[in-house]
Amino acid sequence: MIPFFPLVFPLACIVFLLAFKKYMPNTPKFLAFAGTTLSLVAVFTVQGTESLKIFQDGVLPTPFALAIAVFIAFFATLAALAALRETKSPSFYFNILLSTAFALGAVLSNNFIMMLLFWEGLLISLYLFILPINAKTALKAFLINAAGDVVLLVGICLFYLQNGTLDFTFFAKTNTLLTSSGLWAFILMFTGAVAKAGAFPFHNWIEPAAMQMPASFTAMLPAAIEKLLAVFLMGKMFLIFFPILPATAKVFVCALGIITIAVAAINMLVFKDIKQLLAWNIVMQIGLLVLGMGVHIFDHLLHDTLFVLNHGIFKAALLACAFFTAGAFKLYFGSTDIEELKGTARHAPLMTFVLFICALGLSGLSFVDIFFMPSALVADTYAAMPILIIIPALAAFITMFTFAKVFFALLVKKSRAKAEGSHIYNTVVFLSFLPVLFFTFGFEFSLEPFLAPHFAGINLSWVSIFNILVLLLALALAVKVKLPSYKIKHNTYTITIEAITVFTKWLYKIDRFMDKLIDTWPSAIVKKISLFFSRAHRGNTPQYLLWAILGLLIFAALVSDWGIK
Amino acid sequence: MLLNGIFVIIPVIGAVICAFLNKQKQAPGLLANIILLFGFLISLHIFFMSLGQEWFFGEDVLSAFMLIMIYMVALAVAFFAVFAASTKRRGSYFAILLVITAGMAGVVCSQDLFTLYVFLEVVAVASFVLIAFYNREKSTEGAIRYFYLSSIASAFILFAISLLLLYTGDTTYEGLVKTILQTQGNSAPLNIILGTLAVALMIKTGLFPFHSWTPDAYESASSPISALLAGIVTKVAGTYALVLVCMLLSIVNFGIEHNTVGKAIMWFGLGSIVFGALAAQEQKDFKRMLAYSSISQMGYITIAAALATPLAMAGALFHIFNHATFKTLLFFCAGNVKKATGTTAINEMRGLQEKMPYTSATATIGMLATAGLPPFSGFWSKLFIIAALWQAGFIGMSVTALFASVLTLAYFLKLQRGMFFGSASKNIANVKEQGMGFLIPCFALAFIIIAVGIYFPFIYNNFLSPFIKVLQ
Amino acid sequence: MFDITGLMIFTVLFPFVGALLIPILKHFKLDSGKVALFTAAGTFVSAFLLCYYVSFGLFPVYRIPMPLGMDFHLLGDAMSAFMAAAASFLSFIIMYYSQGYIKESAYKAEFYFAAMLFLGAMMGLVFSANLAWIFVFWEITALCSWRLVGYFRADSDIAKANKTFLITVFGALFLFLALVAIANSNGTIDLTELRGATIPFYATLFIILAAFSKSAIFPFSSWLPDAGVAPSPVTALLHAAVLVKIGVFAFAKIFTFIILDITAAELVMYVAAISSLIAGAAALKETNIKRVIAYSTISQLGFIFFAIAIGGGLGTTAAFLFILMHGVAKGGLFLCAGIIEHKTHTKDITKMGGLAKVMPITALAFGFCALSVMGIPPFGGFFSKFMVFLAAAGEAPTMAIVLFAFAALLTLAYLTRLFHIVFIASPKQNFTKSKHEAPHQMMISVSVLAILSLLLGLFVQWPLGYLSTMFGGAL
Repeated sequence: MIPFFPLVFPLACIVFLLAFKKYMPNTPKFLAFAGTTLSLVAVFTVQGTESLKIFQDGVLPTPFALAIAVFIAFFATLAALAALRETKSPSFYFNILLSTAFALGAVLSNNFIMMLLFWEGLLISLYLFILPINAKTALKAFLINAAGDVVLLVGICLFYLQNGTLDFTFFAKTNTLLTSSGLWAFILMFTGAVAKAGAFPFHNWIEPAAMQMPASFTAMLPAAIEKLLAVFLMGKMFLIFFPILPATAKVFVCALGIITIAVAAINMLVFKDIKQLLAWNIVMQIGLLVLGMGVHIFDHLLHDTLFVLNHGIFKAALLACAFFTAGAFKLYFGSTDIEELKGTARHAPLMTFVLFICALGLSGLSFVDIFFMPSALVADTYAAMPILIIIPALAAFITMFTFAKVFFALLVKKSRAKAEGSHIYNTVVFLSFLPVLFFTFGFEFSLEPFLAPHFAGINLSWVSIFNILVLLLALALAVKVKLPSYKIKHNTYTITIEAITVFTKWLYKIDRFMDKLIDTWPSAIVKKISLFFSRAHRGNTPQYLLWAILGLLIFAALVSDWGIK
Repeated sequence: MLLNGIFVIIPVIGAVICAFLNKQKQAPGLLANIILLFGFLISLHIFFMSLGQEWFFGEDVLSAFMLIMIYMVALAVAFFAVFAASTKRRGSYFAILLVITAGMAGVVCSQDLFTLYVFLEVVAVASFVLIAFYNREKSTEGAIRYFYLSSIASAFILFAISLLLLYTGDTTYEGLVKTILQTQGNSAPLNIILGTLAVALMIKTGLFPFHSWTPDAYESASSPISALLAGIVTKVAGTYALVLVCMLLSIVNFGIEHNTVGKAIMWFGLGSIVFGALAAQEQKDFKRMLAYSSISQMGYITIAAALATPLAMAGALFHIFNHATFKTLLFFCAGNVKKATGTTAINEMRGLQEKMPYTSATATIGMLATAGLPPFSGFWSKLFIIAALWQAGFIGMSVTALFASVLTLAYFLKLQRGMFFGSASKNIANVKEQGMGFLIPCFALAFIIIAVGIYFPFIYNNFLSPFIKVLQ
Repeated sequence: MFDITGLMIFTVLFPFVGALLIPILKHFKLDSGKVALFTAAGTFVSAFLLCYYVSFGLFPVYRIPMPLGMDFHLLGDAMSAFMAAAASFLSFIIMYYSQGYIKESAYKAEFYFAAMLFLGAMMGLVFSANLAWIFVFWEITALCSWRLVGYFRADSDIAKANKTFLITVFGALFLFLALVAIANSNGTIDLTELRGATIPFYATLFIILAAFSKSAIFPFSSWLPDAGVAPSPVTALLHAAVLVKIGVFAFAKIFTFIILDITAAELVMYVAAISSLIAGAAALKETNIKRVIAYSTISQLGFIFFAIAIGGGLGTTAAFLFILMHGVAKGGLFLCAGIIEHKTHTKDITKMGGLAKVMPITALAFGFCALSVMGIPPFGGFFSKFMVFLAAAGEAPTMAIVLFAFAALLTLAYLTRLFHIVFIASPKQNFTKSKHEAPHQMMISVSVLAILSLLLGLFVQWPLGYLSTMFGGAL
């Protein structure tokens, strides 16, 4: 069970927490931090135990999986640290450990059943996380994620049907394109995978959760871990299936991405709060990821893997870091509302700077990414269908626009009381910034030969210039144009709930009708007949004789076969 | 013949003695019970002796079987009546009881139609007297209605007998069978005769639509008498003879396919089943409900008898036995309730289970058995009947008869709800369970129902398969 | 080596003996509850042992020849042993729960008598290999359920008990007809003699209708929510764990021997799917806690029928795993409902709320059981649901799979709704927290079932391994 070795620590810590939480009030915090850090260490050691040859079915997690696992554990650790300042409730720490354990389990499994087990198990920890803060949001988050998981489950079953195995080592070998059940397996599994990260139509819970929960939660779960998991499974799907994916599948994926981006964009423009903005950024980013997957030309296993990794991890890191920053603002200034944060830049310059870099990354500034991913995305999109280039452009534009508004607010000259900082929290922000730095400026390191094949055939220059132009335009407009103020009344969740309500109302009516059919009506009919007979026998002797004579006649008729035959 | 004659003569002698003991309190009852007990034991002995013998109308397995039943039910009723009868004229009461027993024994032991007729009349007259014994207005009315319809029936029987005399000059069963075997092709006259007889006997049995006297008679008679009537009189006076007629019809017409009279009887049987079950639903009186229930169950017996295949016959006879046990039991329970609470109205005294647990338990057993629920005996006889109907190809009838069980269960559940199985109503505070005298017959009958149900193979091998073998 | 046949006979006979001893021992002042508990325990031990021996491939047979082909034939195959063990275990737990629930009353002895009679009939049915005896035991269970449902003796209770009895008897009569038809067309009603035979389509239809009525599938399902007037242990025993499984089990067992017509199988799948959906929808609308859970049972039973209709090793394994997981979890839910009712004196969820603070253990147990029913890992229900879908992929019509996926979504919806309204939402009235949430027998039973839901999931390889080996449904 070596691949599951990193799980031991969080799970052991959970046991200790449950056993000892009464005795030492600070135990949960300590245990959470210990559990997550140890799991991080453990992930690194998994690779090294190959020589021991005691792993599950002889299959080690792939480096791909391990990389994701590393980051999962990393962000969990950061969240545990951040939570030290943000909350006192032991259940929060319990949930951090539980989520870490399940997320690691999902990534380190070597077959789909185990993965699904851990994947769905996250539902419990997600629910328990949000429950103490807001029961309704917890329910919403649970239901939406569970729906996505059901889709994933059905997809996995179809996958089994198609391929006869549930092992991760499976790779599509045939050259015939996927049809019917195999195609459905792909589509359902893909949808289920990105549902976790907040793609349409599974996105409605992220905003309320982000607003109501402490930043460490949001940084850890929706921003980082769930996105990482989604990336993991998305990547897996593509890597397994790419050779045989028909065009319909790719069209589906692109469509999903585009709708997600659109929804995120619409909601982003009416933000009032940094956390709200960042929440919709989560959705926007998964939309971009999905679109990127859809248009990318998968032709070389290694760099495709790196491509996926980068997309996922970089964006996850950016979002996590941004959330931690927002959390810092909340901690120091008491709120994350734009109005209330006016003029705080001068009191928290480092935070503002970090947020600025994150904003650039999220907006997709070309060189703020080791692989020039945004450019690659734009280029690929253009290559796929030229008109589609509007989508990433628009996404970048809106992101930049909204972030610019934030910064203008933060930079406003306004005197404020100085705020108390926190060393631990600052450390957390700094640590989360490290991956961002790496991915941003890492191109300085000589990875060129490595990357060269990737960029063969792409003319980066016009794409980069186009990119910078879009961003500058956004920046400029942000100075003058005000944020729109339309109200969003309906969202997917409420519409679904209403539809279900109507649907169930009608089905319930059918059930009650059937009850009438089986019970009420027959009883009533029998009762009427019975009462009729009762009244026909009320002691009227001639009537009795009449019945007898009638009987005789019928008998005679029957005996003579009605006189016909 | 002589041996069977005992069953007629001894009760008559006993009746005469009882008549003289009119003013005594204990003696008549005791005497009646002793005579009936002995009769029961001897009839059992005779039955086991006659197993394996030739089929011979009037002196054979069937008669012995019916004799057992007659004496069994009569004994139970006499025992119950010792405690339940609230009349001063005990001698007359038990005398008539013995007379009716003698009459019934005569019916089943007779070997020709005229004797049958005579004894049927004896039974009928004795029934009138017993129904009207307490001189209440209702019971007299009930008796008179029975009288009217019974007279019509008697007239029909006489008519049929006279036709038969005209046709063959011989009223014995032997002669009848000979005639049948001779007149292979020309069966119309025989059909008419037997058909007329059948109508008469249907009236006596209380089948739909000739049933109208049944509810009034059963409701208004006192409980032991109702038990007697429903338990055995209608069976002997009605169904036994009907079974004979159906067997003859079947022989005349070579089986059911060409047997129009038999089929007509089957339709009436089916009608009774459904009618009885439906009509019983909304009854407000326990005994009236039981009357309609009897109509329904008689329907089952009739439909099987008219079908006349070996399996069906076995089913019919078994059901006669079973129904005797459960209806008697249920009427006894009704009697208990009447004695304890003063009424047999269904929704008045509720939740009696708490106060009268034994009556309630035995009543439940009786009801479930009537509805044909396993593991009670009623299930097996119903199974035979339904299976026989299905096998003979009467699918529709089979299904209808089967689903009438649901209706049967439904009205009994209503009864349970209104009387036993419910929360106690306020007015039963002073109700007490009846004494052992009342309960022993109930227990005995319940025991028989359960035992026959569970030890079904024993019953089948010893009682029923002989019948089936003989019929084949 | 045990005499396995004796063990099987003991399993069937012991509850009947126990039932008969209850009124007798009552005269000797022995508490009927304890007698029943002892009887249930004994039955479970022997059934479990039987299961163990059966896993080695030793199948006991016992036969008493009876007239007309209605032999009393007991056959202990894998299906029967497993079902017997599961049913007797749940009965035992529920009898223990009853110790705390049923107060002294005039009808207490009758309650335990009927419960033990029911257990005996269940054991008899499970091991019977002759259609006539299956019918006999089937009806005995209906009889027992009538008395048990009407336990509280209120007039409306009796009305509901009568409804239950009538609808299930109506359905059972279809089995009767099937029996008669098969005797006529195939000449025998013994299952072992009918191995590999085909029966007329209408006979299959009759058996299906009978199974539907007993296992509460739409359109014969309306008795089950109404039977919620029964005491909670009765609802748990009859309507979650044991009685409703009779139809499903008989359907599975009979069609292990007789060939199931493809059209009939598809019919079952679709009707079960529609039933699951409608029941799920109803559960979303109801406000009586026991009715909601009852509708949930109807919905889940649809899944079991689906799995059996799919057939094959995988399908049968999935079905029986589901029977086990569902019995444990749903039984737990009903028992929790009993505790809630005990505390709040109401079944209306609109009058409840915030109970998690007042009864934390119950809330946790309820949560565990609900998660299992919803199919969330690591609880046992996840594996059973997953297996059902796995078995369905490819074998079942796509429409049916889609419908069941929706039913699964509805399950999530109504159970979370129930949990929220009852435990989490702000309270509509104030409940005081008492030292003991409920009598200790009730709390222990509920906790056992909840923990078992979790353990069965964590250690799923044991039941799953047993079932796969027995039915040949390896992954």
